[in-house]
Amino acid sequence: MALIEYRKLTKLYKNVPALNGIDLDIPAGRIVGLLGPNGSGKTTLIKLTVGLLTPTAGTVMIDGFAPGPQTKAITAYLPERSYMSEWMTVSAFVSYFADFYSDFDKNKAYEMLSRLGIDPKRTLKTLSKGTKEKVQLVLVMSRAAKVYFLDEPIAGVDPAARDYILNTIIRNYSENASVVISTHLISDIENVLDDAVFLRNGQVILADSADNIREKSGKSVDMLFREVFRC
Amino acid sequence: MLGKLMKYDMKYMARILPWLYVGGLAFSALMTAFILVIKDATLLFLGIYASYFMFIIAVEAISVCSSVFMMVRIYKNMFSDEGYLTFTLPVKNGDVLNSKIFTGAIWTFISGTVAVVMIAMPIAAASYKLPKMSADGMGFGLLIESIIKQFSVGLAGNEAKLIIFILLVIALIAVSAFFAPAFYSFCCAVTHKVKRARAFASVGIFIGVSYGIGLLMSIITVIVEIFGEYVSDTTGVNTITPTALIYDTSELSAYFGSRLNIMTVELLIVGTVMLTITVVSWIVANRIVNKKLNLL
Repeated sequence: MALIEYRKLTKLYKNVPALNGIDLDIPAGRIVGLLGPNGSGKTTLIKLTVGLLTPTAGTVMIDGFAPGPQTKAITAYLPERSYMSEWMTVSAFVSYFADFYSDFDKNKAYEMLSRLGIDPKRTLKTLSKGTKEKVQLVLVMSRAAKVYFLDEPIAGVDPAARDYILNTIIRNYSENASVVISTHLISDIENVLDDAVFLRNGQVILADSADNIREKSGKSVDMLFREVFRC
Repeated sequence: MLGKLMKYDMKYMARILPWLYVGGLAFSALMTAFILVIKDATLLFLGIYASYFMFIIAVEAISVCSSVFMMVRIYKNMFSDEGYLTFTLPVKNGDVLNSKIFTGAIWTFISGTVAVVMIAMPIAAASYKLPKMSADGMGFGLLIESIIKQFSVGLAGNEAKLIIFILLVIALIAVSAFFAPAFYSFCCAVTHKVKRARAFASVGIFIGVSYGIGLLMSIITVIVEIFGEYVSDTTGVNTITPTALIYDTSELSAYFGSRLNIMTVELLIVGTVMLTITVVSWIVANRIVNKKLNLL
């Protein structure tokens, strides 16, 4: 049984479809690349899954449930923007996550923060944009969630930071969990992907394992992506 | 989970408001000390009048600051980027809203209580001090004694009406505490899909509709007053001779009874309107965050 099921999922923004009748299954224990150019519907799909948007039509089921408190308890979400209150300290955020998520590992979070040299006593407003992103990543990856949704986690960061982020993701998710990574920087993540989903104009145009894609097309996922989405 | 949400909402509000309360109460204590210590009657009254305006400003500042803080918390934590975290917590979306409304009501109540204490301290000091100063020829002690006597005479026989009136005032205070957070949540929820100037739109609707409600309340109050006075006039209740103010128990009692009736009707109408808006706002905001949430 798929961990996440999308059936005829449609989302309209002022009658313009951002997603158009998506049917897709994401199995457990896989790293899935949600790939597509800007405006293809990647973020909308993730936001519908984590409950930040309401579908116009169709359904999303996570572990058998529609988005709600039960699914949010097993879903870790890293948005493409900072969602943390500027007045709170890093340690207050660690406590916040520990308060609400039973799968959150406080020690793991402090360990990761210490490895990054981030002082937990500092308030968010005193941190640089990059450091805030790292704190957010640490908080999300310190959970033992069933599914992680990472929206553009490596966009807008330098190559060294990209490596750190990807290594953090790979090292910290549990093997039974699924990781859905949305990005258009495919070459950076291709070697960690189990599956790839290509989105264009709110529709799935390809969903297969990375190995199958390479075998069938004779190209890397990155090369195929460049070919399919050539302007 | 509602308790945990409220813990963090309370923490946010506790960053500034207690300091405002301390400042306000310290100002009130200074005023009280001034009234108790000063011996010259003219200087005392000058001081009271000068401080009166500062007092109004201090009470308004507490009221406005607590409202603004509450509005900022509701908007930022639910409908700005912070909403991406708030609405992915494993809690019901309705609980997120309820936490904001309950916390807002608690802080509104605390602010109201502080404002009452701020006003009560110097009034109590003045009530204690002024009769003692009648010997200086100002005559204010006699005035206060006269007012107290008129109230005790006028309210005799109207105890039941007074109790109902006080209960209604308490109920109205409770409704008022919930009104602002519920109605502002409604404004934010309704405007949360607007792409630009979302905060401006929600505050604009809140202020606009609040003033509209205020205007409506004023009109209703004036109509009830006019109608009440007309009824009192035709039944002869309002025909009080000047001497009756002090000496005639039955006339004064009838007059106070009539005033209490009018004010009770006004309170009932105002309370019903506010309660209706509060409940409808709460229901609509709840429905939007539960069924129609779209954080863009």
